[in-house]
Amino acid sequence: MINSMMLTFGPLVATYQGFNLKQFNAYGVVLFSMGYYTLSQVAKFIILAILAPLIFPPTEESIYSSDQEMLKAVLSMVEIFVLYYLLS
Amino acid sequence: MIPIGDLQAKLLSIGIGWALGESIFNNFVYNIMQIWGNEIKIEYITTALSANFDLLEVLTLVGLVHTLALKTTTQAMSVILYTLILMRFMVPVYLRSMREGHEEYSTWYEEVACVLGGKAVFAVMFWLVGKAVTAQ
Repeated sequence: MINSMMLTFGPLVATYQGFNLKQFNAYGVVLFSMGYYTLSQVAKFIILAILAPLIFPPTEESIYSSDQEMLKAVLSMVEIFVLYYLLS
Repeated sequence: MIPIGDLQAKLLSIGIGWALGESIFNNFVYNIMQIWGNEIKIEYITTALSANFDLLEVLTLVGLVHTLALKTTTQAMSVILYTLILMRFMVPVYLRSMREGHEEYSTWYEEVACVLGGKAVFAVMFWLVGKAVTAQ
């Protein structure tokens, strides 16, 4: 588990340290950006729950459907609007 | 250490925060699940490694969206930017459909090559093209 955690989060720390973002006091911006990502995910989940609800109990077809995945990918673009708002 | 300017620092910080959020949402629960399992699965390693490629993709994405947000791009450039952004969301769906279509992998490294290889190639291509476009 520790190995996986290090593999997952290690590069983020390495990038932060490697570019010496500490001198720019970037902790606040990182946390702010993470907060915006969380907001975008909440918005995405709400839209997904409305437009592409999960079928329960899952059937053979509902486990993986390429149409459903495509819809999810399109709805994931909510992130782009939030990121655009954050950057502008 | 690599010297960077204020704008680059801001974009990098936003990218790191965004990638951190994505890692927590997509991988953290998956990592926690391993506490209860005594076995190590190759999926855990591939998921953790794919987070590295996500970081590269997210940093490129932040650069692309920032270029769009500047509103100084030509129409042709905007089309390229929108296409690249669209690809970032559509290619993983295509890769996943390929993976689902494959019934059973005979060896673990075949699975790693298929899952991680596809993602790695896309992430590097996306970064290179994104870098070339944002440099214009």
